[in-house]
Amino acid sequence: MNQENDTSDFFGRKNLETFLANLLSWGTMAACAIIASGMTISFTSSNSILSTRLINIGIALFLFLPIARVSVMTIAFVKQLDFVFALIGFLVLLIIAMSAAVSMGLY
Amino acid sequence: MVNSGLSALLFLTSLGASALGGALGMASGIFIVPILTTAFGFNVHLAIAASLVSVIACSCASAAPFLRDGFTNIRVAIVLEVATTIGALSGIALSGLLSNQILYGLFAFILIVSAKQMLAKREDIAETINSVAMRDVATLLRLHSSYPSQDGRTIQYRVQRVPLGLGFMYGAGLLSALLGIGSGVLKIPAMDAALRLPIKVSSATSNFMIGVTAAASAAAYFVRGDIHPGLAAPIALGSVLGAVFGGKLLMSLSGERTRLFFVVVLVALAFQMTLLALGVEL
Repeated sequence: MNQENDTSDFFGRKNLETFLANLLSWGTMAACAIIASGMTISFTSSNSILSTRLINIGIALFLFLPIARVSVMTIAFVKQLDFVFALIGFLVLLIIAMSAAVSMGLY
Repeated sequence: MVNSGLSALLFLTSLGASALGGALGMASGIFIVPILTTAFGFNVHLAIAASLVSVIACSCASAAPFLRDGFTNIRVAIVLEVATTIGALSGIALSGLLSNQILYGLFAFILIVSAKQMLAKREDIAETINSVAMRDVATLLRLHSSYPSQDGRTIQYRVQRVPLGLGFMYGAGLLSALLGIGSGVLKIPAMDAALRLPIKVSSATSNFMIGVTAAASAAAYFVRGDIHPGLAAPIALGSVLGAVFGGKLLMSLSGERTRLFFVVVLVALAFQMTLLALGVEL
């Protein structure tokens, strides 16, 4: 196995990939826990406002995870002084923001 | 609108769909949207919105092991995501203009193309790096990378024909936003045939990307209030569990018979979606 630069700095390939893996798996577990608690409340009590709110927070967290993942990558590229990729990451975030904005304008 | 019995049924359906999808290296949207519209009778827009949440859940839940093992090429992913998100943006702008009938018809077509694709075996046509330095986009962007083989060696590979890959990805993003699917039907040819990525790398990278593509369109549906919590909640939970099982099934279920079974399922769903497109009541 080659060891070149892989583990030397925090934003090296290996560390960034491990960080993204942790972000996505912990985020998934948190979102599932929040959605499951919202569903449990909806079946066991009549507090439908609380359960709907919890489920919506869980869904919003799911939607936020990929966006957070692109943001982390963009920051890592800036720290690596890889400005072409930092710009690409920023562009992806901008297009996602535009998608939400366009739909708000349309409806 | 959604009681506990229906929630349990939705949960099991999405668990099954994601496990089967995951076993084939795809997201579950291609099964979930037709099942929600034909078997459960939900409005196609609600089904698409809920399916997008399940696509994101599948992508996030199954990303970690691929990343830790070094199969996902995150540089290729972010470059292609520019095209998929622009595609998604176009899809969102179009989605209000298309009638349900057209959406059903388009979906039926995609199901048939997917079935055809499943019959064709995916071949590894990746080329390993020989030290010739070529001045192409992939080299300039330093997209070439490596992945670990089963015996622990590091295999280097070259990424090819990035512009063609970007074109396929634009289409994939567009379909994803319109139909609520991960668009494996276009991502697989883009990754395998255009970029010439090794199969394990292309599966891992495609899976990593579908979350971002779907997030661009799901954010739009969320803002519009089209994501129904009672529908999306059991589907999201089922997808996460299904994706985890599906990844394990991928190893044991790759025989010809399984492949044929899915082709039959896809064709049956395509038939039902065609009936809906033509407005035929069964």
